[in-house]
Amino acid sequence: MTSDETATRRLDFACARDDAAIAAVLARLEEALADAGCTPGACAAFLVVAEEMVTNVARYAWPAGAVPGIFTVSTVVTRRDDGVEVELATEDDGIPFDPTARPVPDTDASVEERTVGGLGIHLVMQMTEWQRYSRDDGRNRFAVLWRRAAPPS
Amino acid sequence: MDIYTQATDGVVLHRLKGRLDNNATVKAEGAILGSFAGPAPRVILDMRDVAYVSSAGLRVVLMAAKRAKASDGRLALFGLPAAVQEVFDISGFSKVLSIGADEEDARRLIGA
Repeated sequence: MTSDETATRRLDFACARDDAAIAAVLARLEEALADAGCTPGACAAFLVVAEEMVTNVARYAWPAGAVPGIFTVSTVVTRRDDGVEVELATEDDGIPFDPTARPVPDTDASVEERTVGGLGIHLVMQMTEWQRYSRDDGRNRFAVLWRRAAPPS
Repeated sequence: MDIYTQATDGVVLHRLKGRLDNNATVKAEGAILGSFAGPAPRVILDMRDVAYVSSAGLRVVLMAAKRAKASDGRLALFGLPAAVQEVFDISGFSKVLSIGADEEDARRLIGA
């Protein structure tokens, strides 16, 4: 197996805050992963990560109702002979927010004690290889690397 | 997300099909939480055809579990695909919810 079998594809989107815009971006990402040879099960895991990251920016980067609230979603999908790797990043000019500094939810709490928030970021942190946050020139940038090994053939 | 609901012998069974994600929450909330209206409700979620669950979907499941506790009812799930199981494990839901391997198992868990 040589590096000749590595194929990289870059996809960038400008995304608005509404559910239809988010769904359209997620559909494009799903297609890109399927093209890269991802199984539906692996795709599903990636889409959870992508949905959490994108909806988080759409909902919380700006005050409710603020427009235009356009942010970028950039992906680099790399297909290798041993699996698929995606670098996924969101960039917005909203309020400073570092997802990597959020408190970890208490996943041992009982049903009665559990609160419904905070799980999305926790899923992103747990399901990706690395996570990087930066704030430059008034912009939040949050990037992660997601990786899945190819199913044994 | 499509939801097929059947109520027999005091048990409400929701068969969920598709993605329990951001887009599905309103529909899922209406259907699932609505089944906790009566006294001591017993509810089963068939997860076999759920492609994935995001935190928006987890929220609905947690609310259902809270309703069940509050109304002296029962909630059980069964047939979680691997991608769904992963999300339930990471979020700690696997430890606090009644999750069966199959429908028979889920019925046993809610005492049906």
